[in-house]
Amino acid sequence: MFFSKKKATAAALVCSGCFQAAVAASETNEYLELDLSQLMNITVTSVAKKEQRLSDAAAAVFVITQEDIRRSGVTTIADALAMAPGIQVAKISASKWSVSSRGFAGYTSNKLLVLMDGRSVYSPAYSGVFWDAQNTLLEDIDRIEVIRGPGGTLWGANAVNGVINIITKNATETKGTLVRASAGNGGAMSTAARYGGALSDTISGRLYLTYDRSMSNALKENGEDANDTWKPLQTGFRLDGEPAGNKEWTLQGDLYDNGGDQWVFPHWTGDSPLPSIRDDALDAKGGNLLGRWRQELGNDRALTFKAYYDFNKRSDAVFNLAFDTIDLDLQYETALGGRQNLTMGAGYRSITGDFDETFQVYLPDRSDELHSAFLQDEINLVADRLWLTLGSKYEHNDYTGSEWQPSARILWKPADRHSLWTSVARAVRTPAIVEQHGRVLMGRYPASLGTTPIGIGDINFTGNPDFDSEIVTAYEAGHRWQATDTLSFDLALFYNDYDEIYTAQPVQSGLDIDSVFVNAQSGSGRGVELAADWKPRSWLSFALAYSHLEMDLTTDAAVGSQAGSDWVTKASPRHQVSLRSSIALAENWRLNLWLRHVDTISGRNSTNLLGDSRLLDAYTLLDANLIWTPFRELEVMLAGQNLLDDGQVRYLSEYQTPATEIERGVYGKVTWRF
Amino acid sequence: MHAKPFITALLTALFLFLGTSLSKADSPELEYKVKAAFLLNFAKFTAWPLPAENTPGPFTLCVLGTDPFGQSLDGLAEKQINGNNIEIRRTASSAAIGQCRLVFVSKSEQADLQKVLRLTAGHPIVTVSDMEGFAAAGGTIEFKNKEGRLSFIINNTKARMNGLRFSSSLLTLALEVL
Repeated sequence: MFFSKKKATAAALVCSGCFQAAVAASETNEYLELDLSQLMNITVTSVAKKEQRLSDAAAAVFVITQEDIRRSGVTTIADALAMAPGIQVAKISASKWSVSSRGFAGYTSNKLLVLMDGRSVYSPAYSGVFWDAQNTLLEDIDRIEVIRGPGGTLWGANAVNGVINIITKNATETKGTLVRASAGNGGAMSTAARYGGALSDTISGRLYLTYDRSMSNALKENGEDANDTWKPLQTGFRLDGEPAGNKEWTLQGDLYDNGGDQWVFPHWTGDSPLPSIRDDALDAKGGNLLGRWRQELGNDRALTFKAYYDFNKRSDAVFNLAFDTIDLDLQYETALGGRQNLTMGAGYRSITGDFDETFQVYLPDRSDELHSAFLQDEINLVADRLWLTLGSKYEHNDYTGSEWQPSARILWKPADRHSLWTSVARAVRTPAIVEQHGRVLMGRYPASLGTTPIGIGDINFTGNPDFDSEIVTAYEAGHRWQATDTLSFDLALFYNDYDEIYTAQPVQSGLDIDSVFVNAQSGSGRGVELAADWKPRSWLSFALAYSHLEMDLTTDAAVGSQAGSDWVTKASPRHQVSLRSSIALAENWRLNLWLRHVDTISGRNSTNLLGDSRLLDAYTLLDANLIWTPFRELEVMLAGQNLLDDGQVRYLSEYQTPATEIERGVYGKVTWRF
Repeated sequence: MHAKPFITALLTALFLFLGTSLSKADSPELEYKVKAAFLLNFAKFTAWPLPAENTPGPFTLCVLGTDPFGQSLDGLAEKQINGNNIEIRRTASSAAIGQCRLVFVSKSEQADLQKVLRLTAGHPIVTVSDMEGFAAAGGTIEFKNKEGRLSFIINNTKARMNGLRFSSSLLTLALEVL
């Protein structure tokens, strides 16, 4: 599959500007022009040959490398994603983010699938990702592959507008000891340790432990402490074995216990029509164990088996839920007649959800199964010039039954430095538990008959057993151009045709208003994304990302007002620009700058969801850091985040979190490797 | 649930494919093209002791034993190291490597490895090889294939004893520094 671990390596190649790798020149050796880091990205073995030809995936792929992460000074995975074009990252508070791809922003943003080493971290409770629980030792991340657009053919449901693959390093690459400590303003600190080594000739392993405490921010309303300190504690291991050249396996696991504080606002209790604010503790625990076996069978054939177990538990004033997931996945790749590469797979997932009712949320206990199978064929129509990839995934879930997610992609390389691609794909988001069977208290109001008060009415988001999947048909095209050895461009255009998008239909039920989940929005999302990479000198590099997004959504007039749709389309910025620069000042000194501009968006008034939305100002962020490496083992970083401003509100949570200004952050960090 | 028969059929198809087997060779050509480019970069990021660097004349890059590079080394002749042209010498005799600044030791010399290392010990000569365990045995740089990509191990201890200095960027990129 073109997004497999190895092929995405090749995609990384594209993005780091080594297009020439795929150029077949017979006389001269074109690789002589590349620098070491570029050379180290080229795959040279037979497995790789296939990957190399696929170095340009027929999709909008952006790779955030370990070096990007290190130089950006970010301290969380969610913040790192802001480097990618087409992704909207808005920090809500220290522990909460709205992360979305090509629109549909939100704390419960639900059209983006996220995987860590192949393990889905997309929560089936509300179809979204609890970013506060997605951690690992940042230094152990090999790369983050950000794929915009539908990925349903390979990854299955919920990869409507994108897939994020967070991939950690093989244990053979993390030998030795790493100790890191940092401290910053607002009580921020972090400590981490990792030890890795060879257990035998063929087995390597590592162990890590991290503990962070984020800085707390300030409430928009009165400038007081936002009570949003977040304290993730996590440990984990990874073992990698290569018993023979054609066999490899991985066994890895993590355990975490994340605590912290939050204000829950609005918090509806008792029968009061007024929301209270509640001082609440964050508590998210979990763990996972994943095993993977891959065997090359010769003739470009390979078999991969992957299995994982994941449990996670979250208990706070809003959510009280626990999930157990078992996932089995088998994949087979083979060349077919020299011109075709066939990838096929089958999967099974069992998800058990156990919920306790809170004041805000009710969910029934559930036990669900998911069966899936996919087939994808990549056909080389014209040797080294034109490829066609066709495929589909079939899934059977307990909510909507059968789902098909087909795609067709064409890649054309008209010349050595150009590659053009286009695709059409269908993807679905299957219902979350809450949408079919849950209830979420969203507000209270004093009900009256004429002018006579008659009691208090509840406004609930209410599950609907007939709620169906949301559907996108996406048309995409892109152009990658390696203009010179030091300058490359990656352009992507998309038109998404949405249907059956969720909204809530108000139904009077006594004094209460049940806002029943229905599939009643349709419309489109259109946009342009550009990534450019320029390394004018060996000591100087620039990375630019620009995203433009236009959305139109219409609510079925029989169901409700257009206001909800208008808010959704305005909740994501129309324009976003990110410019990163890295400058080697001297042998041991490096200055990194990151400038981001995010266009104005609308936020929702969480105490009155039916009221007007609020405009949030556009903002510009400057992050800067200086890295000093006095010797190979030691790295010292002084970093500043959001340097241009005291703080700004970047997103207004639909519920749960009061408006929080994300403040300026400064920290110092020492990393010692030996 | 009608998903199951479908998946059973697919799995059956899958295992049928497993039955067929053909073999296709790797591409040694690509591998050594890339390795040739590595050699150039190794040379760029190495500092030889002053007398040698000041000596005018070509930078001698040698291949000892059976040459796996073929034409992919030829392009190096157009490059320069510290302002000196590169001269490529292919030799079968380890006795001749005293003249080299950088020697690629071919796998064909596996049996004579100790002799090669003895001859280069104490001399500012960068030895590079893709023999397993080369760096640990006292060679300067060993190529390693990691998940299909090339990386390298540097024996910095030995290199420093021989008077060689590597730039920190080369050491940082190394998979391992001994």
